[in-house]
Amino acid sequence: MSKPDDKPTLPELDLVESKREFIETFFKRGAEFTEELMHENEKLRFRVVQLEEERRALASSASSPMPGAGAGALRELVARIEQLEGERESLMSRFAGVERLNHDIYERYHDIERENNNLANLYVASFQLHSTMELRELTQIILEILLNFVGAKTFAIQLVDDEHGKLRTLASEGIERAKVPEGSVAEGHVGDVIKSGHHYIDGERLRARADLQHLDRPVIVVPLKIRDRVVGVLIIWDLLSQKTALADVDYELFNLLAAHAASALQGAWLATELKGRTPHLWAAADQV
Amino acid sequence: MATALVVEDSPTMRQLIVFALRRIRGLEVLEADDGVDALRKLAASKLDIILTDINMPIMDGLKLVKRVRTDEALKGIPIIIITTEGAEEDRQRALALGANAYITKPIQAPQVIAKVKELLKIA
Repeated sequence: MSKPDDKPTLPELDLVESKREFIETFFKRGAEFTEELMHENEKLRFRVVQLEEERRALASSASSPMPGAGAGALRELVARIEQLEGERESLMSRFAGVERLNHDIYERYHDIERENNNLANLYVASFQLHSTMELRELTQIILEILLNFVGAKTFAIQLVDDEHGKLRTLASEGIERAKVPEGSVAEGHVGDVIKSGHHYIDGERLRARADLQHLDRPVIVVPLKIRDRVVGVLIIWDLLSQKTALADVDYELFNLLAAHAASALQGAWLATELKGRTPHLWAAADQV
Repeated sequence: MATALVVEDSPTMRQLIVFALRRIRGLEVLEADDGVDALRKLAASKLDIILTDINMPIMDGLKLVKRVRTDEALKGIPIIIITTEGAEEDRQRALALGANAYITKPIQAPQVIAKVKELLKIA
């Protein structure tokens, strides 16, 4: 659990609150606008039905004129029918326009919903990564992001041991920590990722969902970087059965973890080294 | 105003679910770390819906479902399971115990919101 000291400061909370209010207001107005359009749509449908009935009634009376009715009355009826036909056409055209608009709004609404969902994932992941300076808790948070947000099933966090040129396992999920291979930092796809600083994703094997058990063949490797230096990797060998493909937000989460997880781990490690002593943050003012 | 209880041992996941539920106007959200904590909160407050994980320490989500369904005062509360367990037999087991819905992680917020609204019968 995070300590009170690790919680965001008041201005940060205000910002979070104002963001949340903005999103809520945005969706509320969107929903009201959609409701208005639906209401207008209903009114137009009703008017079209009314006009259809009127037109039928008039056409029927024009085709069977009452005995003694004059030619003038008949002409008036025909003119009225034409007028109503015109009105009907105009209404139908407006109706089609509203339908198109409805469809566009529906699609935009779903795009915004998806985007909002993605942002919520990134916001919570980022918030949690920086919510603690306790190393064990932070490690657990990284594992939880991979398990719950990405849908990874078998995976590990490994750190680069520069001294011995090999990887050291910090934590794992879906596999015992002792069984995670700790290879050389220069070998295979992991070595390529450490060298290049770019993710490795075996899209073909992920799509086929086959052959995902080999520990020497990960399907996803994400570098953990401090600035441009790769200090560790997230290695994923398998995804949860219901996770059939990677989504846009997964790539964003990989980017977030690549950029933030390592520095968060380093901060937590430094805090551990201080053995509970609180650094005098005010002294930083003289260093900037 | 309706009240939801989110039962989840992972603070990260709990925050994500709470974040999604806050988009339902008028819904108050309470949180619990596990089944025992959930039962304490159920005893202390009037709750309208429960969203629970399965794999939790102390008391897991399935035991919580059993306890709620056998309690006269609580048995009518709708329960949504939110879990990483994606196998069909896990889903069937949870539904047989009395869960009303079963959602697998990773979650999509609109799916969770829609299910809560459906079970609470709110627009």
